[in-house]
Amino acid sequence: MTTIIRKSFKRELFLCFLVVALVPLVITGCFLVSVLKARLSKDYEEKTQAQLVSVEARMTGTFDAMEKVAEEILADPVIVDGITQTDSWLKNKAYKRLYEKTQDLREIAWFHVYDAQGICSLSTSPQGVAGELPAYWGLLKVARTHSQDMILRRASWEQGADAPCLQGAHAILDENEECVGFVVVDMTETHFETILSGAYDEQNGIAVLDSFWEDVYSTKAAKEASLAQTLRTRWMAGEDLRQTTDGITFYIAPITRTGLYIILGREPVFTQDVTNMTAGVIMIMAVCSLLLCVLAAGVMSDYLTTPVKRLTKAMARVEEGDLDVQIKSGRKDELGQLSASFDGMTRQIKENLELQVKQQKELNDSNIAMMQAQLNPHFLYNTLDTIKWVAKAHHVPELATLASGLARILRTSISEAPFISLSEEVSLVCAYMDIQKIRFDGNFSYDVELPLELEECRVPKMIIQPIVENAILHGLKEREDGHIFLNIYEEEAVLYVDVYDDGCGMDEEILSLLRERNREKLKGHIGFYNVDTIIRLHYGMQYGLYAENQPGGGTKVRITLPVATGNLM
Amino acid sequence: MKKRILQAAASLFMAAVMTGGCGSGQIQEEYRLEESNKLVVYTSHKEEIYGPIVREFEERTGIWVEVVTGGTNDLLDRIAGENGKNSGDVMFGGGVDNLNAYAAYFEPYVSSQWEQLDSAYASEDGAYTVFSKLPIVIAYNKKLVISAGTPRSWRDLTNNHWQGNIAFADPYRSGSSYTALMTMLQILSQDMAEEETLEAFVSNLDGDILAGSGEVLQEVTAGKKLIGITLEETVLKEMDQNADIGMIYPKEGTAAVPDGSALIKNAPHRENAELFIEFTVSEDVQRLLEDRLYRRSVRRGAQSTPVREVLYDLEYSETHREEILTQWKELTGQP
Repeated sequence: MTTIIRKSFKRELFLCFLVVALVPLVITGCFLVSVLKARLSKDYEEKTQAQLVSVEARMTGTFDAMEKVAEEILADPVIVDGITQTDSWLKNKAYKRLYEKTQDLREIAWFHVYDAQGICSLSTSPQGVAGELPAYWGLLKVARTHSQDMILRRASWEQGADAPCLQGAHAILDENEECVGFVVVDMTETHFETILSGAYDEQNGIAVLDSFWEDVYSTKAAKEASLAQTLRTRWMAGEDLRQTTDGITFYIAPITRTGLYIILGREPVFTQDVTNMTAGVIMIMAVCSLLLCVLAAGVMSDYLTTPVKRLTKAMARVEEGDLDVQIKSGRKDELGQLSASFDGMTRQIKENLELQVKQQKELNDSNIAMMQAQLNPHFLYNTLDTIKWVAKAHHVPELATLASGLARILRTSISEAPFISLSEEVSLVCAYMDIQKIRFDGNFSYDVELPLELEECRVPKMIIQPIVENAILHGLKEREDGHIFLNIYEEEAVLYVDVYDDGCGMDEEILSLLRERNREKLKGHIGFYNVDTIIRLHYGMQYGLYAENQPGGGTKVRITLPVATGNLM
Repeated sequence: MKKRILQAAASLFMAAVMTGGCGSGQIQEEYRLEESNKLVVYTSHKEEIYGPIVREFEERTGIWVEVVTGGTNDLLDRIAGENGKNSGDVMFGGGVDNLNAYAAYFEPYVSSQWEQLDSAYASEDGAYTVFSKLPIVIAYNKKLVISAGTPRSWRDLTNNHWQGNIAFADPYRSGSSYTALMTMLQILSQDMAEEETLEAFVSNLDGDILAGSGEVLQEVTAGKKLIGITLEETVLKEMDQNADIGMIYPKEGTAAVPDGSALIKNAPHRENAELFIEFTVSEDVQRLLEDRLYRRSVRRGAQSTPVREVLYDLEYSETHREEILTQWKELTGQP
């Protein structure tokens, strides 16, 4: 993966852009969502708590008012008398009082008066007298034992839409503290709706539960969510009341002094839909920035790589020798500067090269001019010739020999032809040896064996003279009558030139240096090395110079080269 | 380096989520149910029976009751399956014959009020405590049968005068129907052989046998049958709503086999379970049974009009169940 990305500038840029664009986007997105979530939850939380408080306050207020009315009823002798009254006029009076007392609360509860046996005697219910309640059981039993308070219980006997869902009872005592009846308050679902209307948000479920968390009254939303059953089931099973799975948040508040509870269930603020939508928006934004990254990476890499590619191409042309290449980038940035530098560099190189060629040409011209300015060699030859004749006329033969030998050597060495015939080379060597003979007072003699058929053979000039010079200067040093023998012969198209001397021989050290062709250490014998090099350069490695000591004393140096006739050059 | 930046980003994100997630501790810690305040009741009673009793028990004792409902046999099988592990505390409901059959799974318990209770069907070893008596009666449709023409006795039911007019549930499926059948056989055994009675009765049913005891009264009120044999409780309840239904206690007497409650072995909340059993036979509950729930109290000196009772032979009906039902099957030609 990494290698795939690393191979392309475009992909590297794309990855880089992607990270730079996406990471902040995702982080900010998530951050925003969670901050929003926290803020919303907090707001709703406060709102819901406030609702719960207001509902609780309304319920408490209602129950307080009911208790007050109930106490007024049971304190009213006319009503209490009405319980057992059969006289219809007196009963009417009792009813009148009952309606008077309850007129403020008639919208939110029905009031009944029961006798001590639990038989209903007076009632404000539109359905008339409610029948009976067991006095030994439930509500009335508790009301009798707690005769100072109003007791609230979930109504259990009747079913149906208009049946009471909550019943309250207050015992009526006579002067002997004997129970003579009960004031019973019935509250139906309609009553609860009237009490709670406007106190809570419709979408929240409200439930009123009794002390054992049985459903007394539930709003529609609470019924649909079966709040009461769910809570009681969890409570009984010892589970956590609030569970992550149900998504509904519960708020519980006890209603003061009644043993009842209010439960408010709220749907989560951040529903799955909202979360999905936010995630969707972030996704779309991410896709957009992805596309933008692709585009930007393409444009940017083109912008960066085009001059680099042009530079690479131009360099390739320079490598091929084309120095006229110019990129001529119009850009002002670093890559533009690089291109400009390249242009400058090639221009400079070209100028330098032209200058060099011009200088070389000038140098050559001056060399020729200088050579032309040299002394005419013919003047030297003529002078040496004159010396020879003057010497002969004055009978100084040695001087004549010296002058004519020198003239011969001079002519050959000055001539521009690199190759000469073998006879010319041999006569040059003879002239040299004649001069040296006079210099060293006739201390050595020499012989030359040159077959007639080899006389016209062409050889590089001055290849034998250095060998002979070495033999005279080193081999025959401090020798009286030394002898040098020059033996030239041909064998299988190879020309052999052997130079013998009977001198002191060569050091083994120098021989081995010669064999290794070590120029650095051959100081003083540079003539040998030059001859060897010339032959090898002209004819190849199998030819050259070989030196060895003779068993009877003296040295033998052999030059080998191919037999060649005619003008080689 | 890149990794480290990612980690930092991740932790930042987590922090944001955490701050967003908290702030909803609405349910206070004080709402926690103590195990000692709990009771699990298995009941085969209908809601109208167990509802008021359980609620009153909760309010009087402060004990929270978890009610598990089901058919008698299902619940007894469940108790046997649980065999004292993770089970309920009390089996509330079920005929004493059924409860007795599962006595091995119940803890012997004798109510402190046993002296006040009818001892006719009391458990010898205290496996169950009786709850309410359920006499078997004959119901009739007043619109179709004048009161002078009603059957008076078990014997009348074998008379072919009623052929095709008797609503009776399949004793295979209905426990009360089997009890009714056995009661008839037991009562008539002095005059008639078992087979004879059975034959006469089955021929009176005319092959029309109802699937469940609930259908008996439906058939009678709808006028499809003239008379029906079922429990007194059902008929009394119907009579409260419907003036056209009448009820006859057969003159030879009838069996009133009670149902009961039993303490399940290794009950997790044994003390509460005992309190509950005591409560079911208390004066208030027994009075409520007669006042509001159309049942007969098992307490001595109960208020309701006495009925002539014959002692139902629990052991005989249990041991001869297979035999009788096989005969029934042959006579009715049921599959």
